[in-house]
Amino acid sequence: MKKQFNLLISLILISAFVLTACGGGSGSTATGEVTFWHAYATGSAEEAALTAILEQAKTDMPNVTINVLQVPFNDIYNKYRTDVASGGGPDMFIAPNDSLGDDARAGLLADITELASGKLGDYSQLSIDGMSVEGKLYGVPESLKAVALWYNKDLIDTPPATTDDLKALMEGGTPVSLSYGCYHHYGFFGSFGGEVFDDSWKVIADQGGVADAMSYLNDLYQISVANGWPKNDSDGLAPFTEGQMAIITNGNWAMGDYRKALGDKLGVAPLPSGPGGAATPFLGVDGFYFNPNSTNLESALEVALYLTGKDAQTAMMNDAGHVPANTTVEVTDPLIQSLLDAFETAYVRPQVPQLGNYWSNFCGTDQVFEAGVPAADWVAEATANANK
Amino acid sequence: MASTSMIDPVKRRSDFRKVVTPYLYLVPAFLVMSVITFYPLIYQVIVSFTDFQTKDLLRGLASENLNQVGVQNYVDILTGGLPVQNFEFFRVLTYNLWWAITNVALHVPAGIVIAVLLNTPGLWLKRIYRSLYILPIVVPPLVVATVWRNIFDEQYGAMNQFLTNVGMLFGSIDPVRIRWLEDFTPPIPWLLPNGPLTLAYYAMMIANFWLGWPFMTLVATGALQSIPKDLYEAASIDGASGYQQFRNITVPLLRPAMIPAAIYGFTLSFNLFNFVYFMTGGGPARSTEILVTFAYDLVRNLRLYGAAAAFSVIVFFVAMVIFLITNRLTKATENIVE
Repeated sequence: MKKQFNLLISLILISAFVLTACGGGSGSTATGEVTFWHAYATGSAEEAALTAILEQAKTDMPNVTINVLQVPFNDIYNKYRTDVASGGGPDMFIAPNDSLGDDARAGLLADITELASGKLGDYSQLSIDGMSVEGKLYGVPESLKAVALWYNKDLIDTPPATTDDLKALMEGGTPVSLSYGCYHHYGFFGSFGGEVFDDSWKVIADQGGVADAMSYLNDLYQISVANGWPKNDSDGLAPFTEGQMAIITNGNWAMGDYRKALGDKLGVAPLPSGPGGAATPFLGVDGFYFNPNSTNLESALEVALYLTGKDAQTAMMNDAGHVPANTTVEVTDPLIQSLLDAFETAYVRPQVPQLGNYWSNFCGTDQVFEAGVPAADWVAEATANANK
Repeated sequence: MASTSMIDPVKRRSDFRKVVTPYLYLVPAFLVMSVITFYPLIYQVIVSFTDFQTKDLLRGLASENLNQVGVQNYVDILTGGLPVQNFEFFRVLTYNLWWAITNVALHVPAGIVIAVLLNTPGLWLKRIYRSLYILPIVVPPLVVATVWRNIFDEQYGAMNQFLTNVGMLFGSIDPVRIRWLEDFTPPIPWLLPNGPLTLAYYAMMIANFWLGWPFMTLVATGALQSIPKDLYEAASIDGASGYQQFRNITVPLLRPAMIPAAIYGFTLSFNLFNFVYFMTGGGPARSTEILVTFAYDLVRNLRLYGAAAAFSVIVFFVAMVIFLITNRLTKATENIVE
């Protein structure tokens, strides 16, 4: 009995020494290799900021090797899914919470509720909610993203506050690069009082509002076509940064690139409100998600906490326009402050499977814009299809 | 009975070996094929009878959320019952067949005419032309599609700039701004009433023509060189004109080589995934979508794995019908000795 007691004491002492040794030194317990994927565009401000942060991480976290792979945004979810389903994949990846619900329910993301418990005190509740599905935490939030209206102060003094203002501006010939598409123009539904889902996630887009918004967007689209203005964010990038476009609508991930080109001339405002109220763009949360196959989950979490920590996020905010999820980051930039204001009316992206019904039925917008199907008919058909 | 017992046991063994040896040699290939070909095929057929989605990805067929839905996926596809907008199976099928047929109908005659011109005796630098014309075959279709998509860009594309310059010759000052890949209004509405042939279709025909004729020229050149010269000599002695020689000697003797080439071109165009996907992505409003790009969209964007599997099985049967018809025409799989 005494022998066993001695053994127990020795074990406790040894583990105490080991733990102390781990805790000391650099302050980081992360070891081994951590691989993560991101989808920041090559040559973008986001990518440059991340590279600088990772360079710094080599000093701050000397015991861990961080491997980074850039995967095009179009492929990142599918590549992750197929890799994880076959037992592989990176330790973690950073992406918007576009398919968080789907992937979490499919068991393709690790549940980190316990692992991260007590470690996310510095992050805003909104962003933590954005990483959670059915009460479980699946990621470390990094930043908030939504579509806003960016303008060139040299070309217009005040951004259009209402949908009528915007239309008048475009009719008057002020060049506007409006990004049409089911993600980018979602905010306009709110301006016309339209809702896609009811409380039980049934699609109710045909009950007014959405059709008005589509009809309004079609008017704007035809103006864009007649003037040869860009109709999506990637076509709009060059003309807007070269000062040919007064306005572009896009998410704040592009802010770094816009500011690099326009400097102080860049302004940002919410998407215009309309007869139905304020615009309701999708508010997404970018975050780090973890692979259930990872053998180094704790270190991966450490790295994610480092990359979303105060220093790293200050750099991401200032250099790449990320709106930090970490509330200890001091917002000094008026643009970031305007974005935070613009996000107040945004629609927090729901993590329900029914959201897929929106993507699979409301994205064929060229039926309205190009094929000339009346907006109300199109919305009615899409609604019926989604509720099949 | 007596005769069997008289057969030499050594000979019998060698007969046995003769029969078995080919199968033995085939075993490795069969093993490899069963893993990389048959297993996925069977798996896909099984998936096509389920509602397989992202939720089942991790555990596959063992997933407890997987529901057997019988032939529902097939019914949905054929009756337009999928929760997917703007999809009618038969419209896509008609367009797909039309796309393949019109491509071949352009590439084969053009290939032959160019081959005949290049075969003109005494033509200078013949070899250089021939190797130059192989270029489109060796450039990856992804690159070709991207380049052509840029050529047809509304604002910065070379095609509109070229047309602007042509217009200037005739005194026009306005820049040409044809929206090749976006405009939905069919320029010739009666051409294929079932599926609108948008400008994007014509743009793709132009681009795929660039991609397609060199192969036909290559085949035709080879066949032309195997036509004996004395046939032409004899014909010209008999007073046949150049056109008569072409019609009565060149064309009939080219046919055995060109028919398999045309069928190869047909199947290639029918399933020309990367070209269609990267040039128009099936747009505008799914008007240039072909069956394979649609199947891909079902998986990639809509994540309907079960429906996509059923779709692929249907595509397989469509392809099989085409194969059976063309096989009858070319006798491609017939044994040379038979």
